[in-house]
Amino acid sequence: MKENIDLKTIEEKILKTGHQHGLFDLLIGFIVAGMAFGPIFRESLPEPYRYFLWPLILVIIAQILAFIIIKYVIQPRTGIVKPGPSLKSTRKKLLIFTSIHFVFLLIIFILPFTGIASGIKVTGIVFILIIGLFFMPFFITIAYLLKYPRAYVIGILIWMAIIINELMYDPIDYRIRWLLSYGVIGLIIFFMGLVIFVRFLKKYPLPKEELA
Amino acid sequence: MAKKKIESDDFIQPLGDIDKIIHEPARLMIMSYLYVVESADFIFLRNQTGLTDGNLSSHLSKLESAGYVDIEKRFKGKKPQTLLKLSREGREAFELYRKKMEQVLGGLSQK
Repeated sequence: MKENIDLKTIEEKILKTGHQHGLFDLLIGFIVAGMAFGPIFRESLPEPYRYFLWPLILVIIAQILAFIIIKYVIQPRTGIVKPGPSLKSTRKKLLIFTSIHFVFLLIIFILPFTGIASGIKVTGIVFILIIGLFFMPFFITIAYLLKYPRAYVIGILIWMAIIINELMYDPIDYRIRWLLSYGVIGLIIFFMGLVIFVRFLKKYPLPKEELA
Repeated sequence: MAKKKIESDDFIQPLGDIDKIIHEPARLMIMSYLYVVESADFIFLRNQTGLTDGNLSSHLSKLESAGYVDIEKRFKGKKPQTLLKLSREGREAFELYRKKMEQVLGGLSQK
């Protein structure tokens, strides 16, 4: 038992229990690695949804997996906690920020289709930097608010996948290019999560029965 | 000299009526965890505090007898689940305890 009792430290510790198991790293890795197969499936998908459908399918699969694994594997080991006012406010801040960020990304995504930004052409290193600026704030906020430092690493790794993909734009066939960029980076994130998840399972074996 | 003695008594005095139920380290730990959350179950509290099942159970019984912790036992499927939360009295007692300890420790000068 620890001797020092500090409410702020306890709150941080409770926040960390939400991602100490590595499941989110594992599922983000799964989505990123899954994106690598996008170009292969893209051709068989209907035209207007070609680019949205595959990532959407991956996110839905990841959500279902997260629900099942949290309910049947993680919660029986870690127990259940309902956050107090301070922890709820942290979650609210995160929700507000991610919602604003999502709307911003959606506008950026829709702009080229509307023709408003058709005159603007961004390529090369500027494109890479701008893409990073679009989604890095999301990972930085998660890492900062949820005391989840691995989110910085995940953000940088995904950014690297985009850079690698962009650098190989001309010389390599686009299917292989996606496998080498998103596939490899996704697998790195996936295995990082897998190691943490296996360690978590070893550290917290299933409890036999409650005494209280 | 007499004035100094009185000043010393002023900040030491609250130690006399400090809540002994909360003051025990393991129970203070339990109270602190329950203070920052709305509710938690037995497994969560055991993992966080590092106490053994028996130890945690016995401290929780004492806190429940004092009216500081509400314990709700229920079944989740076929498995028993014990939900714990601070009662209103428990929350107030913990806040009072914090104030008193701050008062006492704040009065102790470093030499």
